[in-house]
Amino acid sequence: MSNYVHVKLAPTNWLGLAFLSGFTVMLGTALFVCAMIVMHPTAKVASNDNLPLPNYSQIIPYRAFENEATALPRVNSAALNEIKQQQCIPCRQPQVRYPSQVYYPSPVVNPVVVTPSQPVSPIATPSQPTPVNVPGARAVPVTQKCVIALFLDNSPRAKQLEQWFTTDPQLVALRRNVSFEVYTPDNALYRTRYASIVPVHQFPVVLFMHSDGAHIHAAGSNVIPSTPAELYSDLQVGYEKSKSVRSATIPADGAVIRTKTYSFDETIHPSMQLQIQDPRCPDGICPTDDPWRPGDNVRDLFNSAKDAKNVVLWAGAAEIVTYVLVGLVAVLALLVAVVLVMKLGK
Amino acid sequence: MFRFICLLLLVTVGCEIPTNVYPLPAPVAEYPVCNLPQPMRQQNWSGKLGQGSCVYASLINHVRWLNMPEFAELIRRTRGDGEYAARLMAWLDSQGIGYEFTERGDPRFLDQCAYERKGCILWWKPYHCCTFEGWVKDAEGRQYAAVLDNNYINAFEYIPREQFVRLWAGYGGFALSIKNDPAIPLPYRSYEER
Repeated sequence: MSNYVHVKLAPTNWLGLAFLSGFTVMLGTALFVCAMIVMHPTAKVASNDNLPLPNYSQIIPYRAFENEATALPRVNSAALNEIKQQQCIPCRQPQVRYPSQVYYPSPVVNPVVVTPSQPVSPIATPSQPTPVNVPGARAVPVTQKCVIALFLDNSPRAKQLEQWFTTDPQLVALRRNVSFEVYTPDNALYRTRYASIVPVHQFPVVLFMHSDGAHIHAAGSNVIPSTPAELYSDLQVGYEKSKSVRSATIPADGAVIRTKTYSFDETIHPSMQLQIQDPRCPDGICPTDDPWRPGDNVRDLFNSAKDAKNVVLWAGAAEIVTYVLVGLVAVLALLVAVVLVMKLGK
Repeated sequence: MFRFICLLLLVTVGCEIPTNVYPLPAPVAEYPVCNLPQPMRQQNWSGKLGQGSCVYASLINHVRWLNMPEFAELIRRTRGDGEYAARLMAWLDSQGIGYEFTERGDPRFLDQCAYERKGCILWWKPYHCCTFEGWVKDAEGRQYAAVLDNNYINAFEYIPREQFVRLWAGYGGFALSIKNDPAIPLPYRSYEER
């Protein structure tokens, strides 16, 4: 007696086999989707190419106010149209103290003589302003669109970076929705305000931040990516993390969100001093602190970027492993179905 | 074999070593919001006619904050003496410079200028023009207007809001703001990952 089983399937068996295979694949796909939802709850960025930035158009232009009936102070029309030419050069510095009364020597303003048909109130001569010290002064909070600042020197990389924001569609669209500034080493504002934060030897630098100065993403010369698409992706990731940090409730351990990511900010010190050379990444490409996991090489194989940076992908290494293993489950389920059909056919 | 595969699935599926993101404390915000550095403040000067050039000195302070150094240099080189609103706006039109203005003493215009961190120039004090640099609040929440007088560029002057709005109307109620993005705020690191 032979130990081998010869299987001969009728056409109906083939149909059943095809049906079972299709059902198994669908079941495997459903399991795969559920597994992704359950195991990877980290919010993904919307597939929309545009960053979900605050809607700047919500700021109502001043012109819209002009048609509204408002109780505004009565304007001194004579003062409106007179020539402003106050001259006290050099001027005596007023002695300002709290509370203060400051005397400003000024010419006598002749009141406007009006002969109306009805009595009108004369325009009052304005009293002198009283500057005061403001104890505990702090800025009135402003909420406004985000800011992108480029700090550029004459290097080719700087020119390339500036060109990206004029040619790359995604970066151009982003630029339209933010406040965009460029600073060079000889710019007076840079020298007086930002030189201690972003030193010249870090140039070129791209700085993405909120309107209050909170950084979203900062990249110095050696960590600016090689393509505009990667830069846009970095800005996108930084924005999502920053948004989560600003809006989340901080748990006991202080961590706001947990995400597998690679941060370009590792080279940025708390004082925002960007360093060119980090002992861990002399070539400018810094390793992640995450240990090796199965599938890391798999991602490198699929990653078409020429540099070896562990750029954030929406499918991380562990996620790819998960995808592959769930796929194996589906294949196993199919094999089981085949075996069952064979037994049924027997 | 099947058992081994199941075991492999259980121990490897969903494995990740997460990176935590921690917020960092924010520094005290600078004030006023249009905090033009002192070395960049333009002092008033006498023009060719012997008149004070307060309007153009205020405008220079304003556009320097808007990171328009070339335009500021142009103003300093080519303009001077007294000025009034209509002629100023005509000159800005000739230079192709966009601006917004009010002649009604509307405080919402100042609110918008402060909101956008741009500031503006305005008629302030008799026969004089200064630069509005934003609103500042004290410990009790009262608002003060921060004003840079080009005759006293060493310090900002703070005037209570209600008094400021009332007096501003008396001085003509004119304010003008150039359309351009302001200097970026002082950046700070807001979160870290470890």
